[in-house]
Amino acid sequence: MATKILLVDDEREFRETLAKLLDRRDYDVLVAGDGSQALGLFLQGDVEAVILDMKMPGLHGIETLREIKRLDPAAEVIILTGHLVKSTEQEGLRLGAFAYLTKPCSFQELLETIEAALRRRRARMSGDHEPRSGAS
Amino acid sequence: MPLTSLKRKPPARAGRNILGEGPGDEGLHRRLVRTMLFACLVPLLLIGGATHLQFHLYAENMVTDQHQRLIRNHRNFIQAYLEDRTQELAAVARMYSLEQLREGELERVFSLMKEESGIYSDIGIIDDQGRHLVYLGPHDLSGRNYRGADWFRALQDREVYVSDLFLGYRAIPHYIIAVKRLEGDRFWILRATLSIDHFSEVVERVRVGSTGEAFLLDSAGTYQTKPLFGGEVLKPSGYPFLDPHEGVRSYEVKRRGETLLFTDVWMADGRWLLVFRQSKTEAFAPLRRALFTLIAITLAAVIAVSAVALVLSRRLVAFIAASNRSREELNRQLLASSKMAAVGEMAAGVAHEINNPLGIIETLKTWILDLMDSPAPGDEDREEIRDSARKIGDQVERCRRITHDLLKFSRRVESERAETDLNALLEEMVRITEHRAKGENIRFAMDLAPLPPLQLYPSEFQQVALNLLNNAVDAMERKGGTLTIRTRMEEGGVRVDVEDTGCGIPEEHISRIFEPFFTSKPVGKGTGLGLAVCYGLVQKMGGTLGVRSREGEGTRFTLLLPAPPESRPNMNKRSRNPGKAGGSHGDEDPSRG
Repeated sequence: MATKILLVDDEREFRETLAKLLDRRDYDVLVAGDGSQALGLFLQGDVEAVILDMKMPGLHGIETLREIKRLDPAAEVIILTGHLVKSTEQEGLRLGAFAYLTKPCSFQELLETIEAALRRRRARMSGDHEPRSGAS
Repeated sequence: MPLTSLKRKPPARAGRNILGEGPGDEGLHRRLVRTMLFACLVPLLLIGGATHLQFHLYAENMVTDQHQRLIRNHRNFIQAYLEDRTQELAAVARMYSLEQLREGELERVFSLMKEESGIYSDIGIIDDQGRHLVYLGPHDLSGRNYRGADWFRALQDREVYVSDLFLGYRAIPHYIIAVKRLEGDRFWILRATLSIDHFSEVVERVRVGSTGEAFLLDSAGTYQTKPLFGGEVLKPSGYPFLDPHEGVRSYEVKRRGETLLFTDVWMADGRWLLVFRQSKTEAFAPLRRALFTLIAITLAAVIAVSAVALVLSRRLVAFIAASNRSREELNRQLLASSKMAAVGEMAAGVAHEINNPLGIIETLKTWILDLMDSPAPGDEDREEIRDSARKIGDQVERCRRITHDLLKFSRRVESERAETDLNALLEEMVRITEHRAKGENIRFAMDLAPLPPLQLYPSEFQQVALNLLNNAVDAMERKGGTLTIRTRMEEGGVRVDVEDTGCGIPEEHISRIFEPFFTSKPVGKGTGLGLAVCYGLVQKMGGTLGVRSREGEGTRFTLLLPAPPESRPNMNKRSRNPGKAGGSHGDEDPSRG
């Protein structure tokens, strides 16, 4: 089954083009235009990585991140924003974001970051599961 | 509505510190010199005046005392002199009998007396019938009878008589001293005439300076001795103070432009008045000399103080001027840096707005490359590529608009008065702020009334507006809200409101927000200069800046700018774009407010 990625950005053009690019690389991409919509999709389950914008109407990126981490602490969130503010970056990383990328970011770099995030998630998942399976 | 407000009240320091202007150097110099001279000269002159007054009183007392002492002593001296003469004659009368004297002794004794002193001009013996028995002297007086003479009658019941000055038989003014000698049951009289010259000399012996002299008057004011400066013996003196009195008295009399000091004392049982006279000018000459010295010293001090005041104030003014210049320079730098800070704050926000289209362009570029890399791009792919390129164009246009707005803002740097469309300027500022505020859920409400063109400093007004808009956006960060920009034509000029529904200003901060370096923003975010500079700039434009705020509900800054009277017509207050929401530029997301 394809890896499910949630892409949250208020720029329609950006999220649609990025979705097409990721789609061609066999990711299963869900798109959301704001934080609340994103949480709705996330709740449907199986999302392994989230690409999250910061400045959005409605629920702000940081609030969305906090909510996602509360729902699933293992979810990997990559912040991708045009918002170059140190304090936001620090807060994002403190809340457990995997990386803080700023727009414009090369697609290659984004892909590598997504892969790295997924590797960490998988490593963590297997680490979580093995002792449990060993015990059973 | 509010609550906590601060209106038209100048903040403690803001205006002066940020854009205050120094007083003119020349005016300051004059003021300083005036103050210094006043502070130095007034005490100096007061001390000088008081010293002079005290000294004058002291000197006046001293002169009077001196004159009184002098005349008292002199009276005693004259009395002693007459007493001596009387004793002298009495001794002769006691030592010799009438017979002896008539037979040559008088001649011998008188020649001795004359030799000794030259006091007497003649001498004679008169019997109890008034007959002149013997006469030794220059006049022909033998055989005269004095029974009717005043002095002869006076001697009937006394032993000694000293006369006033009188003419007598010889018709020359003279004094006589007569002593009576009883011999058996008869008496005879030894009578001598005092030389008038000699006696006058005795009286005048108290010469002081060139105008101080003494003379004798009888009780009717007739001269008894010849005064040195005007007046004849036996002539009326016109001396006005002839009333009998005890002791010594002093007077000051102005006569023919000259002031004379008189001191007098009665003597000889009130028959003679001994008068001392001196011109006041001479008596006070030492005082005048002291006064001149005092004036000279005071004048020298005045000149010295004035010179010091002049030099000192010139240096002070130069120093102040230099520090004014450096303060003005500092103000300019402060103004420039605060503008940079405002622009910087805005630029950080606007950068985000450029990064977004750049992000889109980057993804579209990757998408185009992806499509071109596909093994056999078909018509559909080509159409997709074309569409992507067109979209890139859209994003470029979006960037261009932002950079264009920024450039327009940054180009307006000249600080000159110019006719300005305030509403257009505000719309431009709001557009830039919108770029910055995107994603903050802020609704921009423009409520602009038609305004006449205003004479303004556009660059400075822009800076004020940008600061107020930046603050409003900061106040609503994350939480969102409505930012209302309202313009109105009012009685006194143009009113501009910038109102937000943000966090508000705590009551304890409201009185300080216009102070330089006061900020409630986190460290590194606010310089604390924005509002202080705004305040200074608004003052410079002749306007006022007020604020009303309630914590948790919002803040409204009200800017009042004077408008020329002719541009205050009775216009219908027609709202332009009432409640129009901002965000119509480069915004492709219809969900955005």
